[in-house]
Amino acid sequence: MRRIWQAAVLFFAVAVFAACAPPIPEAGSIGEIRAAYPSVADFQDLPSLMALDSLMLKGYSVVPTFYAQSPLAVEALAGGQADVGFGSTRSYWAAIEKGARLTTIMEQASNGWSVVTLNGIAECADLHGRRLAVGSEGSVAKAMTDAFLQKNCPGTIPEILYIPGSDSRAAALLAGQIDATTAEPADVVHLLREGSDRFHVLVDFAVRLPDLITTAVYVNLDYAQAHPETIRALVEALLMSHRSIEANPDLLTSQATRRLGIDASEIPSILATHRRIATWDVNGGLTWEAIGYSLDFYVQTGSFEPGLESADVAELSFLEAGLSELGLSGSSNP
Amino acid sequence: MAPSVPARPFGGSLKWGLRLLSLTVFLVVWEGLGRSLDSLLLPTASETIATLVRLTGTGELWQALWLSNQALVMGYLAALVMAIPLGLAIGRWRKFEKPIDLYLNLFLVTPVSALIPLFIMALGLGTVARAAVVFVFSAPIVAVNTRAGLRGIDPRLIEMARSFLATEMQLWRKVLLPGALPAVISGVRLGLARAISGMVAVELLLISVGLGRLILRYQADFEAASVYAVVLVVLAEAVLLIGLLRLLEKRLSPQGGTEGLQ
Repeated sequence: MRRIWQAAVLFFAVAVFAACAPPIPEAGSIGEIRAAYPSVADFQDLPSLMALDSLMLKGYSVVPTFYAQSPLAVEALAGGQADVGFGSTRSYWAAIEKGARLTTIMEQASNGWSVVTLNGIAECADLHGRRLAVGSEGSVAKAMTDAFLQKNCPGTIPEILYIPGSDSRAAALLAGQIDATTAEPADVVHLLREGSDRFHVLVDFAVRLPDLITTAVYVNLDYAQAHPETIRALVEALLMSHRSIEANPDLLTSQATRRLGIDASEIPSILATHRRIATWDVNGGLTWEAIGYSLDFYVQTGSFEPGLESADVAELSFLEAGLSELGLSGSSNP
Repeated sequence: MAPSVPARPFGGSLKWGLRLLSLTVFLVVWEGLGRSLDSLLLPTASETIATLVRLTGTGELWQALWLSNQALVMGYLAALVMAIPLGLAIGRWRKFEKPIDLYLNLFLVTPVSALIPLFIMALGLGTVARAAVVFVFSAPIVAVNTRAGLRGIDPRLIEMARSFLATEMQLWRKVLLPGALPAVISGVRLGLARAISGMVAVELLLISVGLGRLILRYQADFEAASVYAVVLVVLAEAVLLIGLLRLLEKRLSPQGGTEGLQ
């Protein structure tokens, strides 16, 4: 009986040690990158995943983790459980506003949000009293939709429903349970394909707010100070990935079917949409002007209190170093 | 005459003293962790309590509580109305149990949160869908506990009633229902705890309204103290309602309450 107890205590101690011990980098790796993503992978994450793959081939130990919610990914990066993070500027900058030691190093994907509605909703004012679904009260898409309504049809008050996940909202629109939704490019394509005679794009924020930085790449400041070479390698890998896709968009086809399980017949339309809005900027997309514009937008829409400066949320030296190494490419976002 | 049990003048005080001590230890540990970990998502206990006081002074919290509880009341009452008779029927008659038992077990082990999108697709985005999720969270545990209560009755009591030529109705009134009651009430209490979990789960995972919406909003803004203040409100509601049911259980049960199936 005593031996059983001893074995149990030993097993428990080993389990606790194994759970708490930091991951051991693979033998021979030249550095470790723990990447935090919010939610499951979607189309706009593919180039960054390709970049992480290329770093693995170069000898880095790369551990991408998909957290259940955006705040968890942010907390992981701020708390040092991750080294780089991907996701919404609204989330990461809100954490920086609260004192998290993070900074933005380049854009992940440009603004691709749209509002898709039933065909009967032909203009902004028609949304009055209709069921409009958004992801959450604090989402970028909600802020953009509010700004759109305020500017184009003041006094229009839709019935707002909060449904997390662009794909879930698209399913609700297809099922006739809502009248309008904010949607990411892949879901816009899916909706227009499934119901081309029922739905249309009411607002394309890629056209209306092209300078708004909605998603970006972030680093933990302590990690960046300790491993500047790794961050520079990451930035270069991301820029190379964006440029490879610019040159040959079909690179994403196999990635999308393999990683996301997207219906192959929908991929050409999705790629065409991303190509039209130049989702992945070949020069990293982050400029002081764009950061200032985005911060002003968030303050004006009530997402942040005034006071956050561009230098508080971003650090362009890594991107500049990457661009000086690789050279500027001609077809950056306007 | 049986010897009288000596009175324990400090028994009640000791019980409350221990509860207060455990609460104090919990709050001190929480405060220490909140201060030392410096996490975006973990506030200190003092921040959370101060925020809770502030939130209770706003209409927003009460409105959210009202919205959430609409689904809770609808779903939970429906679960009681359907699951107790179902549990009694499958506990009494095996022919009912055979076709239902599999589904009951499936619902007990299935992560119901994963099924929430199905409810939304079938029932829409309104209160009915949220109430249905609450129902599915709580009904199986109520039915299973009710069945266990009926099965736990001493068969000799049933045999005795039969030997006195009791009718089926008399058997139910005099033996089965009184015998199963403690376990039924336990099931009702456990079902309530599950119903509250369901109420919050559906609001966090799919239809963001009420308390779930408040939690998600505060989480997105990294207002950790507000997140935990809302969680404390949910906990307070659960403790209050479960405490009331425990009192009811003690009043109705001759043994002073059973734990039933946990």
